[in-house]
Amino acid sequence: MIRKGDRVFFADNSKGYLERCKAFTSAVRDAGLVPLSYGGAGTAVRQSTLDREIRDDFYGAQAIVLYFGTPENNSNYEDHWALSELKHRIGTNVDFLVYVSEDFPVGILQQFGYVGQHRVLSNSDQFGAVLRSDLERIIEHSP
Amino acid sequence: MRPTTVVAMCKSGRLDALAEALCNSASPVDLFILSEVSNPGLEKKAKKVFHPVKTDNPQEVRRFVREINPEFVVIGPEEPLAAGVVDELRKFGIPCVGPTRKLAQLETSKSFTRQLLTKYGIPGNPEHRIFKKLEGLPEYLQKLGSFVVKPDGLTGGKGVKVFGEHLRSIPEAVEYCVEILKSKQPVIIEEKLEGEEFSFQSFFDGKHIVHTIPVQDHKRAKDGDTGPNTGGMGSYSCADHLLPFLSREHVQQAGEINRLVGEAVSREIGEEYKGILYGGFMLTKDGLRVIEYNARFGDPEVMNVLPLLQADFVEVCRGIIHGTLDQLTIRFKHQATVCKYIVPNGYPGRSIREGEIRLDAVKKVPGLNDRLRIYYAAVSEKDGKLQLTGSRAVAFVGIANTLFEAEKIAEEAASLVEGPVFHRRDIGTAELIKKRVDHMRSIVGEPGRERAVS
Repeated sequence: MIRKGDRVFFADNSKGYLERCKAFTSAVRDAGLVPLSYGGAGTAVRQSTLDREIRDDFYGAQAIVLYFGTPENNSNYEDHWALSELKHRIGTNVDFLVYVSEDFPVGILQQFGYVGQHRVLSNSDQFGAVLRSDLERIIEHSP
Repeated sequence: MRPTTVVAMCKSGRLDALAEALCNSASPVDLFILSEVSNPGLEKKAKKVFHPVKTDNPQEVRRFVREINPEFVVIGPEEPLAAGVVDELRKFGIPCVGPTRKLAQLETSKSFTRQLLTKYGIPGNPEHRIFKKLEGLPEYLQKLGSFVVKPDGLTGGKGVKVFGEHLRSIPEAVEYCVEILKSKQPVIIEEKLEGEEFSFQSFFDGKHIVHTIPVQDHKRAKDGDTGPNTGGMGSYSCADHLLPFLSREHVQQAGEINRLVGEAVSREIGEEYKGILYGGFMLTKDGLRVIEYNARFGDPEVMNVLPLLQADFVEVCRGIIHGTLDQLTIRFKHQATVCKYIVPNGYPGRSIREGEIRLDAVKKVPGLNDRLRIYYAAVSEKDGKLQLTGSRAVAFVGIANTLFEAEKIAEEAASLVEGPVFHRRDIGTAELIKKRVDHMRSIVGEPGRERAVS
């Protein structure tokens, strides 16, 4: 469970990430949480000057939201900064909310050590609404 | 011969390496240590270890140092520099290897260093601008290629967007910038640099510079460059004083940048910089870029450098203090080094803070002194037993004629440690080196330098 004021990390490198980043920021803010959003974060970022910052946010967040969807034209399904890191955060008491598009081969998640749940979205426009409801589920409400 | 009295202060494996180098002087040295913690390495080398001492408290440090009355003080980490320990000691005529607080802004203020590089026309400064309105912004993005856009001073969160070199990037980025500007926040545009990072450390006496050798550190906790950021899990250097992805020309450029930075900061502040200049560089498709500057030796990088020093480190320190580095012959052995830190399980975020480790098997490794160095860091000794204290515990440095031999030595030693610890097995291995070379080749399209490490 997370509490109001906690930091929520988001990374997305699939087609249409700008819209989902916007939806993420708004849903997380409305829930009283702090959004840390990285759009366009592919594997190339791992060997770049941005890596230190994204890594600190990923490992410092209390909840992690990831979207894996249809890749950009010059990319592929595995081109996502967070994939190689999943195995290190599983089982560390962090809440994961993982969303995938219908065409995303979910075997990739297992291949990278992710054994948690994921939600398949038939339409990327659902992302904001589904995220809002999932956040509501994992936020600890004071009595 | 009367011993030279020296004070060194730090709290990590870096201090143990500095202590070893000072004690290896041709003339006798009485070494006194000021540290927040002690460990068996320091206890063995120093005449006395004063701990716990708040080394970032200038007045507390001054009290100890005046009592010891050393010829000079060597400062290991950044905190005492940032706190003005050198300034305080200087008031009492005690010279230091390490810059004053104002000069140490080179490390403590990223914006100071960026502005310094721009003002003095020093090459390698990454592109970075803050826009309060859209004017000139699309043209700037066009110039950059790959870049990162983020709001400046966004309270309660972060919205970073990475843009590559595809055609849609510029219009999409402009749209995002307009959105940020509409919310009355300035926009930060940063050049996104891709490449291989390395460190290049130099001794600087205010006028003269002597370079050490390039080293590559590994900041991420786990094999394959994954896991959280750390202070550094290990590092390597090559026998030819290059790195597998780095040419002699690149190393010369890095040295030249260090020299220009040392001169510029001295001129800007109006004082001579006396200490270590640590340039953090990235080799990119457009050449070298400056990532950061530190005003002291790196940890672990110092452990790759000082064991190869073919000069008396006490004399090097005197050269830095008196501005006479040009009168010394300072060389480094043509050998490769691989450093591997063992760290407590859970490091860095949830390190176990207790637990015994045993190095008995390591100490039986043949040729210990010539081929392997052991530097103690966050460990204490109780009743002859080594106890973890929550951070990087012990560093093993393999030294050999080739990188892969050095790696085998360091790996064998690190693997023999018994206790609740882990280390990166891949540092200095052929597989990881190949990955680095291939990565650089994919960026610059030039053949790598495997020959240097085979």
